[in-house]
Amino acid sequence: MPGRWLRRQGALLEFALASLLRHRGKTAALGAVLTLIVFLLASLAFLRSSVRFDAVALLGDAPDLVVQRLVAGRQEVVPQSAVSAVLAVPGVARAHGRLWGYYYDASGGANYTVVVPQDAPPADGETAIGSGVSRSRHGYSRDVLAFRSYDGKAVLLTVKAVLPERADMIAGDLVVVSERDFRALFTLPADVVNDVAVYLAPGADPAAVTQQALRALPGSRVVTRHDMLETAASVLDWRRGMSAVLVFAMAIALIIVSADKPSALGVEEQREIGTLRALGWSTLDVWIAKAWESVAVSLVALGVGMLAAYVHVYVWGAAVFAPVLSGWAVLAPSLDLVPNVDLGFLAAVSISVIVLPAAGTLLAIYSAASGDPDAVIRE
Amino acid sequence: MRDLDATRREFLWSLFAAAAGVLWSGVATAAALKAGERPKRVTLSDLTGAPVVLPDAYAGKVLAIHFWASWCAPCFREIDALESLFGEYRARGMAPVSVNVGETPGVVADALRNRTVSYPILLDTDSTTARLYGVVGLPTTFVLDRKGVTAVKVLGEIDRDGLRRVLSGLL
Repeated sequence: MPGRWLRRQGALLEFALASLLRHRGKTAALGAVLTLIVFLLASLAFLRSSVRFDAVALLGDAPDLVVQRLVAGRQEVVPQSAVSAVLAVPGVARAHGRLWGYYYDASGGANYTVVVPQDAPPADGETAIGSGVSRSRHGYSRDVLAFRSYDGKAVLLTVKAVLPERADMIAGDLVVVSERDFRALFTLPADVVNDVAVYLAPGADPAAVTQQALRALPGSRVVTRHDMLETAASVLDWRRGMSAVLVFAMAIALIIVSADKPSALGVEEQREIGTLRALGWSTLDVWIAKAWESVAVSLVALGVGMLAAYVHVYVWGAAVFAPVLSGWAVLAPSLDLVPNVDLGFLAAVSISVIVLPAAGTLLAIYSAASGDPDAVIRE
Repeated sequence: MRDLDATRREFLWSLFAAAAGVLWSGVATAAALKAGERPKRVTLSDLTGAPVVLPDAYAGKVLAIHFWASWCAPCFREIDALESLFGEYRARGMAPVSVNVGETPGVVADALRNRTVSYPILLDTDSTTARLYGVVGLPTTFVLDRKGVTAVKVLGEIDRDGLRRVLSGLL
């Protein structure tokens, strides 16, 4: 019995494929539209999940807490003595002052993040730059970045290294310098730092440490790693809004393509259905054959669209979306992403691309397949 | 019918070419002159209209090629610094040139009217040379050693002392 059923399905599928070949133009047009929809939605899915994955992975090394001093609601420098005050709080394993700031490079028209690393800082007069800085200024090893300090003096930094593209998402705009060059550039006294990075002992309660740090340093604010992750997520939020618009547009396009089928049933197709009914095919047989047609087109569109989206995002760096995502940024990161797939979203796309056009097809042929064959042929 | 097919084919090929262009612009990167490389030979004209071949015209000298424009205030401070160092190091084989990017001879002459510049000012009116060198911000200065190889590229405004430090290692 199952063998007979399978043979029947095989025959119906064969008929469906032959029918698709007979209507080559219409099949190709429908396939192209569906492929484009799959390509755009899948590209978006790949891009979103990989960017999120990268952001979380890169923030994994962030300190547990950062203590900052506020004056009139604005962040101010912290005296070095704050580091020992924080170290005295129970539950704090390590704490150190950080030096970081923003420098506007007028000749490059871009804002750089200047930092002094805790471990292995560059020698005085030398720098390592992010790949975004390198790209925007065409700056490479042995080149000299000529900055002006806040008191008008030249600060010359010879580029010793360009940071790897992989770190572009958070390090693209970095200019890594020594402590002496940092303090010279921003005319910062030796006894202050920008904030204090805090690492907790295993099992320490961040909320309790936060309370005690605030008591030890009145007028401060404490930023937790969770806050940093939330900030990174909100930075991606406006892009999420654009994604929503694109998903919505593609969903509408898919619905229009599917819903258009009833009106787009050509005279030739109506005659074909009428002939099949006249030859003794049941309404169910006609429905199944036409459903196979729709599913075959959808499956090919899914395969081609997904493959193209994968190549687009992970080989070509999302070239179609990159200009929109970069916006006005001078130092926009390159999208050299690690493949990461949002299976739920891709499953939703796949089901929509198969089910919606199939439903449209079945609705389209309902009257033709269930009516009087003679009347359908003569219409 | 054949005309319609041809038009359709042309349209599809144009679409394909446009898409390929968009994708290529995303992956292609412009080449820029880097330290350790020799610049390509270019012919520019000076303010009198005489042709000057860079870098051949200064073979055997330590050549500072300074890209500037009249709207760039720091560029004028660099011109003054170059003029001062030219006086100091001329006898030891130092030669500066300031290449104006994208402006007409009239604008350039006007911008330099109240300045004493004894070294050559060259014109890159259509910015071709700046693009060839990979200049993306002004001022930018390339310092070539006596063999005509780029020794240092300075991105941004460098002062007289900084320039002296760069040049003294090559002279």
